[in-house]
Amino acid sequence: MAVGIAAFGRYAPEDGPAPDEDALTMALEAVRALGALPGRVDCLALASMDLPGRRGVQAGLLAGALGLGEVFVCEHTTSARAGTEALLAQWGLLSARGGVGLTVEVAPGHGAAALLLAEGGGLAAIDGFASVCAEDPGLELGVPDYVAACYTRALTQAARCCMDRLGTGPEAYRHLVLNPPVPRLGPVAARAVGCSAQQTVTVAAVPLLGLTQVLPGAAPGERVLLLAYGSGSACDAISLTVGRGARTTGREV
Amino acid sequence: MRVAIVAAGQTRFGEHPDLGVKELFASALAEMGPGVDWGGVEVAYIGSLSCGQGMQLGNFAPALLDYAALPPVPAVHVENACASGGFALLQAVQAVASGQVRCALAAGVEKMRDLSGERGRYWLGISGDTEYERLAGLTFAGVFGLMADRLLYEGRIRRSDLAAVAVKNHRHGALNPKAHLRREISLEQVLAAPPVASPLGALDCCPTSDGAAAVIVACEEMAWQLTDRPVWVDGWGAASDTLALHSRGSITGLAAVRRAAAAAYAMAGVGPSGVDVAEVHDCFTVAELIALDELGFCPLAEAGFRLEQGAFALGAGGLVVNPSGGLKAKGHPIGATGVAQAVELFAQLQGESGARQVPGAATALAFNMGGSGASATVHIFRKEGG
Amino acid sequence: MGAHITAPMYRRSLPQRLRLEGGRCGACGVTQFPPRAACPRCRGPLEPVRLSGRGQVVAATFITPAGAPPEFAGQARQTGGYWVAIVALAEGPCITAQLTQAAAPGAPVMAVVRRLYEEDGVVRYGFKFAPQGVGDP
Repeated sequence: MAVGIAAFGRYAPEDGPAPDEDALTMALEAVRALGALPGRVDCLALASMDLPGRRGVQAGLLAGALGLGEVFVCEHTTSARAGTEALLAQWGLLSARGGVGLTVEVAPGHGAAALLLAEGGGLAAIDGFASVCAEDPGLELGVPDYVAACYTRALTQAARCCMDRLGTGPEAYRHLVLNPPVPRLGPVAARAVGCSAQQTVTVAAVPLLGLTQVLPGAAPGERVLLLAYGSGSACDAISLTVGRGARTTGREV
Repeated sequence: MRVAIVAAGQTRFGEHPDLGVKELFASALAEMGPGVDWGGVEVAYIGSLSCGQGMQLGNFAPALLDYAALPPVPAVHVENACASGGFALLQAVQAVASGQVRCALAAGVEKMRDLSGERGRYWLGISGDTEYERLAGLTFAGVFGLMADRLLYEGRIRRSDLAAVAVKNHRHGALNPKAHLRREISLEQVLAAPPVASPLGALDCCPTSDGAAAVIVACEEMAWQLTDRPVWVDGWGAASDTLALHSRGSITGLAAVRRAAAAAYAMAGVGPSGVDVAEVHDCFTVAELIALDELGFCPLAEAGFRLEQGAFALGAGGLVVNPSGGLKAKGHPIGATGVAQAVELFAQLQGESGARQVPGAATALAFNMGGSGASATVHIFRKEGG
Repeated sequence: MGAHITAPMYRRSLPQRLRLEGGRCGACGVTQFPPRAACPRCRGPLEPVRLSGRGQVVAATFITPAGAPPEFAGQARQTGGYWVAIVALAEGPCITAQLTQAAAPGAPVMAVVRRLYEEDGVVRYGFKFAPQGVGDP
């Protein structure tokens, strides 16, 4: 049975996080919003551009705070696509070895999203994905046209590749989720990917926060194309199909 | 065996930038006046929280005896937070009462004003529940603030009742040459003072002070050799309670005080109505209000109204509470406080309190408390023939 | 100033600070938080039990910079002060913790994990109480 999203939780305080909130506390809030955890969680991935404290400590602290002892933990950091990096790695591991996984992505200053992955997880299925990577040095210098060109190129390549693999086209997707380096690039990139007014475009600080923003409003059978950009000029294009229950509960019924 | 206090002395409480803990201790002994028979002292109990770490922590009590050139008798450091002095006195009294020794020294000392305000607040909080109260960001002002908040919420006190305690004790402190804060304050000043831990403001809190106090405790036979006016220690009691306020059945009562007082009253064969003058641990104004109730002096519901009418003050007639100014105005050098209460009451019962003398004082009570009531002592003193 | 709460001391309290692990007396059923060596009522042994985090404010105080201990002085200066409350937990015991926002006695609250302060380079996390309702599962 395929591994899919069994539950999701989302924490995005309206006025932004308080001074005493950080990656760990927001990650905990997102997991709390997800509801009671199953008795066993086999792997836990914590993703964030930045993590406070000493490197490598936070995922273990999060596992401890959740009462998870016998668990494989890992961190995905210093990338704007840390969330999809974590999701794909965990999805691959679970697909190969079975079990239950928890992927948590934190957007410092915004909030956090948590996905519970399990075999048969029916809130959303992962249809497939494609990733591309390019040699685009100096993006951090913020040259507007250069950034826009690199972003759009990476997205169109990844999206095209993903849709080719799945035999779909832009019209198959009802929802598009983007994390552009500059917000105004979102609509530009969406058009470049081939999307029209038919699609809703969700722009989020980090990919999984965008996904959990879309899922509650998505109807069963609708498809979501998640296009996460980061790590220089890498892009993950992930195709998901929404299952029953996402709209109402945030948990698989 | 009857036990008496035969000599007592204390330093002025307040700022002593030129005196360290040893010098403060020696000064308190010197305040007892000449003629003290130091050769007769067989044991010493010295109360101190040992604030600041910039002092002798190990072998603290022997070090003080050494500096003060006292006989090298057994000497013990007693620590029970703000009740360190009360427990030092209790140890001395019990040592004499047991017949093990004929004469004992009880002293207390604290050096707090070598510390910056921030480091002072560090030490002021170390006697609370470290793992929960302190990690929630509380010092004792906050813990007592919680008690006061609950009492206000339950409608059992008014904000002005808290302020009335400060006004009374400052009035007394203004008359005490040994007091740290020798100025009267008005109700309006207390209510307008900068907030510290709501509902408590800066003038609801006692100051941090340097100071030392000492008494000599002797058996009956020896007491008569040393003085013609012994002050008898006729009752004592002590108790513990949970460390954290939140662990108690009620956060508006002080069960340790109640239990310590019950033991002391029973032993002395006297009740609250028989007490003429009391020194009551008022680290924060709300503590005195609760203590008035727990010691049986006045139900909490009436305490504020009676204070408003001038009760418990010098000159009002009836029981006088904290004629020294209390911790609030006299000051609170933590380890010295419990012993200084006995120093004040010794003078009161000898009729030597001058402008603060409670007329006809014959029976006195001292209540000393550690933290938010995790430890407490109550002593009852009687004038000879009283 | 030496560590007030050493890292090992903090580590030992994590089951309480992050997961609200209390102790339930096998003999008389009374719940303790934090757990003790034995049941204070009957001295029976305690078994670990995870508390719900739901409770009600018993009393609250607003701590200004003048009333804050040094490890919280930064927080007090930054925010002008903070609320601390005693909360009666649904399972019975009361505990002291900060409030994320003002709440009066009687208000229903819920434990959330927040940063408390940092010492020795180790962030100290622990529960605070937030108004009940929003975002509760």
